[in-house]
Formats: sequence, C-alpha cells, structure tokens
Amino acid sequence: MLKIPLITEIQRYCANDGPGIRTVIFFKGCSLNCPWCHNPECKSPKVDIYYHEDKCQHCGRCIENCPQGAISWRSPKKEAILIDKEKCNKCLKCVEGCPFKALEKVGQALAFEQIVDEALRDKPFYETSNGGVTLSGGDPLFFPEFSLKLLKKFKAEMIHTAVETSGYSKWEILKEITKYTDLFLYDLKCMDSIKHKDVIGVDNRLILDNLKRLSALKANIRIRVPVIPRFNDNKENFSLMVDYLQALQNPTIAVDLLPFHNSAEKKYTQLGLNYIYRGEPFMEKEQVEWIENFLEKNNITTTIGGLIGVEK
Amino acid sequence: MKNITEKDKQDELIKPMTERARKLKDTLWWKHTRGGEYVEKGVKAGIERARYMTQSFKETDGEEWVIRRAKALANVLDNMTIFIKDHELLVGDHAEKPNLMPIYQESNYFLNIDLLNSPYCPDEKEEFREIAEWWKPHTLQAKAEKYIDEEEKELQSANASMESPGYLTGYSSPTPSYESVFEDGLEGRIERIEKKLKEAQDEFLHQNPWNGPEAMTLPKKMDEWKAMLIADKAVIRWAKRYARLARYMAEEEKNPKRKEELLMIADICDHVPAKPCRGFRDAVQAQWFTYLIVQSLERYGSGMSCKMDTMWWPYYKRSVIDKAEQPMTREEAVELVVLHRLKVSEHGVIKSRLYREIHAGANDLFIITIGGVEPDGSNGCNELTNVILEAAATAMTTEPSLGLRWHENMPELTARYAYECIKRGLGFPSIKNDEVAINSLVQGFGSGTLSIQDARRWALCLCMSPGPTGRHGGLRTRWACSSYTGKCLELALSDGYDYSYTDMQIGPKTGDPTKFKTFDDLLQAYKIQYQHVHSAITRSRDLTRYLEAKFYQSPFLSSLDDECVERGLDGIEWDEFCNPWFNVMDDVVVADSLAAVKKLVFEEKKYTMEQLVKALRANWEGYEEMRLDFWNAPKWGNDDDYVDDVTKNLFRYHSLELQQNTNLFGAHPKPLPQHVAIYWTLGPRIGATPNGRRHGEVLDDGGSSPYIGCDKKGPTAVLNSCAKIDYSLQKGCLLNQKLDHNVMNSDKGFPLWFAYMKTWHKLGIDHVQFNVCDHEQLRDAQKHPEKYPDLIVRVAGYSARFIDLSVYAQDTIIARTEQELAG
Repeated sequence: MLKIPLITEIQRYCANDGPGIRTVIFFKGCSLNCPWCHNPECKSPKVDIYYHEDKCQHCGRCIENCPQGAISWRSPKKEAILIDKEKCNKCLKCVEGCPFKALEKVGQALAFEQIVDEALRDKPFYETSNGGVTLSGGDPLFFPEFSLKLLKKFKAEMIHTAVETSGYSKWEILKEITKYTDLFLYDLKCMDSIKHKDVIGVDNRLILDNLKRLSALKANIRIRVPVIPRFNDNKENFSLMVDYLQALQNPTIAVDLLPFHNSAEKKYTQLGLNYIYRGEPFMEKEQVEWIENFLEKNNITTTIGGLIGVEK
Repeated sequence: MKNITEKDKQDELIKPMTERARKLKDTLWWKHTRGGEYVEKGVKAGIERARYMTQSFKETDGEEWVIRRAKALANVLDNMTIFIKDHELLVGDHAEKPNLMPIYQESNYFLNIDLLNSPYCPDEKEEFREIAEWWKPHTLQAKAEKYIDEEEKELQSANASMESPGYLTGYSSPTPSYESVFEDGLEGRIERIEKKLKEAQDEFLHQNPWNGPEAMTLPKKMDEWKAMLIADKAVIRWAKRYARLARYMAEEEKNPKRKEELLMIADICDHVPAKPCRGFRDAVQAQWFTYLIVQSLERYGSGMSCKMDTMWWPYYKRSVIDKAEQPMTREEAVELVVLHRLKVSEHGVIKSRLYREIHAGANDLFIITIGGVEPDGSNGCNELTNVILEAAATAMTTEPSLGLRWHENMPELTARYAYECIKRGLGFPSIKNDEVAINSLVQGFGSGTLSIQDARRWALCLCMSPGPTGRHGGLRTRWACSSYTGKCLELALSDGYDYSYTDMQIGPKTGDPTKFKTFDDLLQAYKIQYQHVHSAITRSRDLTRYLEAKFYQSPFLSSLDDECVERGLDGIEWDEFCNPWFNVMDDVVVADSLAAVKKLVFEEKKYTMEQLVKALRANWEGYEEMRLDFWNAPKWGNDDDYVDDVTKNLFRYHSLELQQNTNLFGAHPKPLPQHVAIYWTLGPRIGATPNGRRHGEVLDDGGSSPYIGCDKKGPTAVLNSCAKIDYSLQKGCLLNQKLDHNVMNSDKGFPLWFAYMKTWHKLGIDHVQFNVCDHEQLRDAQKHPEKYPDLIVRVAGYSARFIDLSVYAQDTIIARTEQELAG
C-alpha cells in the first residue's frame, strides 16, 4: 500500500532550494533525528500540535475540551498551558475549540491532486526562472513511493525537479527516483560512522553508499553540509569528506556549507520539544570560511549558504 | 578563480555622488511632512508670489480674467527675488529663499485661513492677512460654493467617502509640452502666437460678409493669445534675470573655476527658454524653468509628467555621444541629472493639512516616466534611460520618483539599473506594463481616441495614470478624484449613517442591514452607496473644471501646446482626448469583507447579519472570536479562487458603474485602484470592516495589493491573483510588493527578480512596485533616526524618507515588510 505523507507546508517562491523560483513541498517524517534540525515539525510522521503562546488568551477552553485530560496550566498563574505528550492522542479537540488559533495542527493530509495543483500554479514562474519543484521535509525518501509518483507527474509536466534528502533509503527505490530527479540536494553531515549513529541515530554507511551509486548514475548532486559547532566543524571530518568526494565516479556539482543557525528555536518551543542548542549563537560566515578554502583548494566548488539561484 | 561578485557589478554600475552634488545635498532644505507638519524647522511660506500677484490683480480690475492671470504671472516673474546657490549648475527656484514655498492664495480660502494660523505663515503676517481677505470672494472655492448647497458642502468637505473636490484643493497635474520649448524656444512660440493673433484681428475687423457665429468666437481667442504672449515674454525676461545675476556673481567670484561655471550658467539662461536648445545643458535648464512656471508659479500642479528619456534624448546625443554642442562625458551627464533631482528635492508646496497628511514623508508627488517603446513599436530604452536610473541610485533622494514602462523586449541592462534602484530600497522605479497602458489609451474614454503611435508616447500624469505627451497631447491637466469604497461598505451596513466618523447621514438610506436575506441584498446596498459617491465626485470635478476655465487659466501652459495655440484655447478647455480617472480606494478591504460575509453569513450561516452589524458597531470589542473568524476567511492575494472571484467582480463592477457617468468633455471615467498615503489617513475615518479590521487600523495599501499581513503564500501567489483582474477596464491598478533584502543583495537577486518580472509582464498585470528593506533596520531607524537620514521606503505612488513618517505610518511599513522570502 502507498504510504501517504502528511504535508506541513507547500511553500511558494522559494529561492534557496534549487535553481530559479521554486515551490517546496515539505513532507512530515524523517529517518534521522538530528538535534539541530531546523524543521523539527517535520521529524515525526504523525500530526503535531503547535502552541502559539503569544496568541493564547488563557481562556482555558482547551483544558476543558481535552477528553484525555492531557492539557493543564503550566503554573498556578494560568499564564500558559502545557500539553502532556504521553497522554495526548492527537484527537485535536483542543485545536478545533481554540477561538484564538493559539493551537495549530501541524501536518495536513492532502490529496495527491491537491499537492500537484498547488505546485503547478507557479509554472509561469518556473518557466522564466528555470525553477521548479523541490521535495523536502523531513525527508521525501521516508515516503519513497509517494515521492516517485509526484516526481513522475512533475516530469510529465516538464517541470524541473529537485529532491532534498538525507539519502537514507533503499537503493532500489532511490534508483528509480533518480530517473525523475533533475537535482539532488544531498545532506552529508558527518563522515565518522560511529559519531553519526551516536548523534543522529542512524549509521551513515547507507547514505555514503547511496551517494556513490547516485554518482555512478551521473545524477546531478549538490552536497549540503550543515556546519554544526562541536559536531562536524573539524578539519578531520572535512579531510575525510574530500577523500570521499574525490573518489566518486563523477564529481558532484558543489558543496554548500550551511552554517549553524538557531532560528528554529521558536518552533521547538511551540512543539514543546527539547532543543539542546537553545541560546547557541549563529555561526558567522567567517567561522566557516576555512572550510570553504580547504574544499576549494581540493578543487571542490564550494558555497556558503548554498546560493544556487544563479544560472551558470 | 573567483567569479565577479554582485558587489563588483554594483560598483561598475553605480558611482558615488560627485563632490558638488554631495555638498548641495547636505545643505538642502527638505520640505517633507510628518503627521501633517513640515519636518524641517524654518520651512514655511514665502510672501512674494501672493504679494506680486495680488498687486497686479488690484491694478487690472475690469480686464479679462485670463489677461489678469497673465499679467499677474508677469508681475511675479519681474519682481520676485531670485538667487543662485554655491555649487549650483542648474538654477531657478519657485520662491524667494530656498526654505520658502509660494502660496496659492487664489485657490481656496480655507487654506489661507489655515496658513494664517499655522507656523508656516509668511513672516509678513499682516500683509498676508490683507491679501487673503482680498482674495476670499475671488477664490475658486468661493466661486464654486455659489452652485452647491450645505448638504453637498458637508458631504464633500467631510473627506469621509470622497476626497475633497478640486475647488477646495486646487489640485492639478499638468503635462506641459516640453518639446515645443526645446524645439521652438519661446521666441518661436511667440512668433507663432503673434501670427495667429494678427490673423484673427484681421479676420475680425475685415470679415465681409459678416458671419457672427464664427467671428464671435474670435474675441475670446484673441484674449487667450494676448495672455499667452504676456506670459511667454515674461518667462524670457525672468530667465534673463538669472543670466544677469550669474554674470554679476562671476565678476565678483575669485575662484576661476566657479567663475567659468557662472559664465556658463549666464550663457544658458540667456539662451533658454527663449531659443531652441543647443545641447544637454540647455535642455535640462529649459525643462526646469518650464516646470517651475507651469507647476509652481503660474499655478500649483503636482507630478512631473514627461517622458524624460525621449524628450531629452536628441540633446543628450548631441552633447554626450556626438560631442557636437555643449560637449560632456557620461559622468557629467549623470551629475547634471543628479543636480536636477536635488532641485526637485528642494521643491515643495504649501498645502492644506489634508494634503500634508496624504503626502506623508514626501514634499509632493513628482513622477518622471522613462522606458517603453518608441512610436513605431521598437525598443525605446536608450542610454539616457540608464543614466536617469543611475542618477537616482546615486543621489538616493525620494524625489522625483521614476515610472518605468516595461515592455516585451526590455533590455537586460536597463532592467539591471532599475534593479539597482529597487535594491537600495528607493521604492522606484515603479513599473508599468507598457502594452497594457497603450491598449487602455487606444481604447479611450468615450471622447476621442488616440492613434497607436500617439498612445505609445505616454507618460504618467501622476503616480499611476498614463496620459499622452508631446506637442499636442490631449487634456493638459488631470481630471480625477478619489472615492473611498470602505466608507461605502460601512454605509451599506448602517443604512447610510456614518456612525464612525462624521456622525451624519452622509449616504442614501439603503435599508436595515440586519434584514438582508442574501449576499445580493448587501451588494445592492453597497452599489447604491457607491453610486451616490461617484456622481457627487463627477459633479464637483466638472464644476471645478468649468470654473478653472473661467478663473484659473494657465496661459503659459497653453502657449506651449500646438493645438491650444492653433485654436486659441486654454489648456483647461482642451477637450479632444479627455483622460479621466477615479482613484478607487480601500477596494481590497471591501473585497475581503464581502467574501468573508458571503462565506460566514450567507453560505455557512455561522453568524447572522444582526450579529455582524452589532460586532462592527462595537468595533469588534467583545467579539474577538468572531473577528478572528472573519479575519481568517479567504483573503485576496493568495491565488484562492473563492475570494479572487469576489474581487474580480468588484473591480469589474466599479468600472462598469463609473462608465455610467459622462463628464463635461463627454468622457467616461475609469477606475484607478490606488491609495497614495490615504490608507493611513483613512484609518480613523472608516469604522470596523468585516475583513476583521478594527476602526482606526489602516486600509489596504492600494489597488490590488493584498491587505497587510494577508498574503500568506508569497509574491507568486499575489501575481497569480492579480492576473485575474481585467485590466482593460481599469485606468491602472497599483500593486505593492515586498522583497527580502537579503535575497535582493545576493548574487542570485537579479536573475530571480528579472525572471519574476518577465512572468509579471507575461501575465499582463498593469503595475508593480517594490519595498525592499530589512525590518531590523527599520526598527533600529525608529529608535535612532539620526543614523538613517537616507533610508527610503515606498509608501504608495511615491517614496518617503522613513524617518519623516509618523510612528503609525512606520509601523505599517514594518508590518508590510515582515514577511520574508522563504529560505
């Protein structure tokens, strides 16, 4: 049976997720569990609830409405609520009953046609800008069959397609997806297998193997490296990466360094999730320039921030 | 190997200001207003125009009015104090000192009273009091009031459902024929007029047999020609006064370089506008002199309607490219255009409090048009187009604004220069779809049509409205007014009673809104309210126009138009191609409101009309849940067919409705959805609306721009919504867009924007303009205005210095910029 993802957002006029003007479809669900993830609402494949504290008028209606008794005041002052994730069964009675839209459902079950219709609306912009559609998330490869179906449809409409992925997927289906994908935005977080498993929860071997195979198929690949303080911002990691990338059968287009930023902090709060990078400062461009220089010296085209809208 | 970066390209295109321009800019007297007051201390009215005009009028009692107007102008020009500032190359001012502005005491006596009691009253207060007293019965306002009753007076001056009429504001936007000044010189015009006058005199005195109906048109024409001659000769004398002053200053000047410059100024002012222009310096000076007379000294006129890159091109080519006359480099040409911008920046208008509020952050509206196609349809963007854009990006002044005609074969380089201006946050060029505008002009308005060749010579009369240019361009002044549809909707929901602002029955009784059974009932009430407003506006506009032709003639403006000279007509009377429009304001608030009522009251039946009327009367207080439902109903600008259909039909309705009116030239006005800064000033004037807006909150910022905070799907969805409007039914339609400043300043900024613009053009959308600013920076500028003297934002049809805006206005701009590009 086709596994259908929840969609958190279909974002139009995006400029950073592939060439030109793009529409990005965010899938809910991912095999990895990166603690810095800037789309934490896309980690779980299930519905989530955002609590917008700034909109809350403290009427207490959600507390009354919850059949599970999962919602309570955070303190006796009754200035904010707390949702007990263990008790919550996502019946969403609280969301429906909130008059101030302070509670929001995250993740919509959209029909295939609905997604396609929304993405096709900006076709005139794709045409003038060489843009297209990007599947992102979460990880679209968490729902490989559905992604494949979408990509097939977009290619039939002559639209440029990109897939933003962790690369953690069975090769058989990824191989099929490659046929309908014009560009992969492929995450490489860390070359050290043990560290990868320790921090992110899965081994990186499948990811590295898939990249090797994609390269052999001459897929267009941009490598995305989130540069995370104290995790992968060390010389050794990038030395190993250079060796690995140079050994690929066909070179990747470029490496985009994405310096750490904590702009997702608010989303973690709204989801009631723990965030270990709370208060961690933004990484400045200057702090990753050494990596750019190092990669460039090894003949790997590198950008900071992945500004890839420019046609070469 | 490093690629050429964005920064390198920028440095190549836009050079820093010259030393001279920098010094002039630093010492400018800005006439900007904030919260209805002039910002800079010391800015006020000068007495001289009023003094010399009145002196002359007292002496010419009994003469024909048009002759009196001409003689009064001549008396001003012969006697007003003139000056040349250090470093200036381009000279001429509209008042006796750079901090002063002339008074238009003949337009309305309200303004005179307002001025007498304001800090902007001329130093010679008693003298001005006498002048104001003398003028009271002769003002346009007094003349108009004879024809209207108290009810009409209240309706029109309330400024609740419509802009105050022209006889109260004296507002106008002429399009002078600069070409005839450049090509013929005023001496050439005089020769032409004298010939016509002589022929008419001969005809009148020697007609045999006598043909009364024909011959008796001649005395009025002869008066017009005589007035034109008085005006033209006075303007030549005035320019020569500048020449004499420059020569005198040269004699005293110790610095040999400045001495040479002063002698050059003397040579130019001796030559133009009397004689045809020789090169670029002549053409720039001649334009500025002409502008000063037409739009500041003869009468007040807003705008700077001209197709600048076309009209200056032959002289630019002769000087910069061929080096034949007044040879100069491209850099010198850029400097000269910068100096022209600074002249405009120091320009200003003494106006009523209402207009000081409407033009918040600016000193008036000055819009120059560039780009587009040639009369034969080929690309009309030239090197001068780029020079004008470059000068704007260099000078970083809010005035004058630029309107760029974007056509199918837009050269990438010109687009690039436009981008440099937009990226810097200037807010202009405002971009108009050339093909859409030409099509609209060819269609006409029911009183004559333009050939496609003439239509292709169009320029913006004011912010948003194309009109023909050239030696005989059709209606020489604006025929327009503004209608506030938000108030009409409010009246439809209150049986015509304005409870939120005037506390008067200002609309017809359209029935108890709680009894409306269908959506059509509501629409019907709205339509009756709108009809009441637009016919009142048309009436007041026509009455103004009729009186202007009798008491507010512009003989100098008329002398420049070939057709006016041929027919002995005043510019006001030119009737063959009338170009009327109505500014339709708050239409997006109305559309969003209608859609919300349709859905929540008549379809889903979640609320009743009674509940709605109660909630609106209570300004939503105590109805917050309900307000959020209305606020979250479908909103225009999200490519959502439900609300887009309502909007599309509303726009169509306004157009068909306005066509029911015929103005005194036999033309039918078209709607022009736009807002200037009236969306702020209307905030307190329009009660709560069913789109979830509270009383006091701003209206939509104009035309087809989504309501602030309601465009959730980004710029492409906005364009897709806008593409649904039938622009052939509109005179124009303003669209504000905000773009993220980080993306605009990145390497991919230009290609992305260029692609976006190509799609915009392909979709056939009429207009677009951009605000590019960093809202962090805006917040900082609110706190530390002294750090941001040059921070410019787009308001509506014009741009303003951010620090000159009121906090209320600043907050609106910040709200508008907070939505950023996804990344």
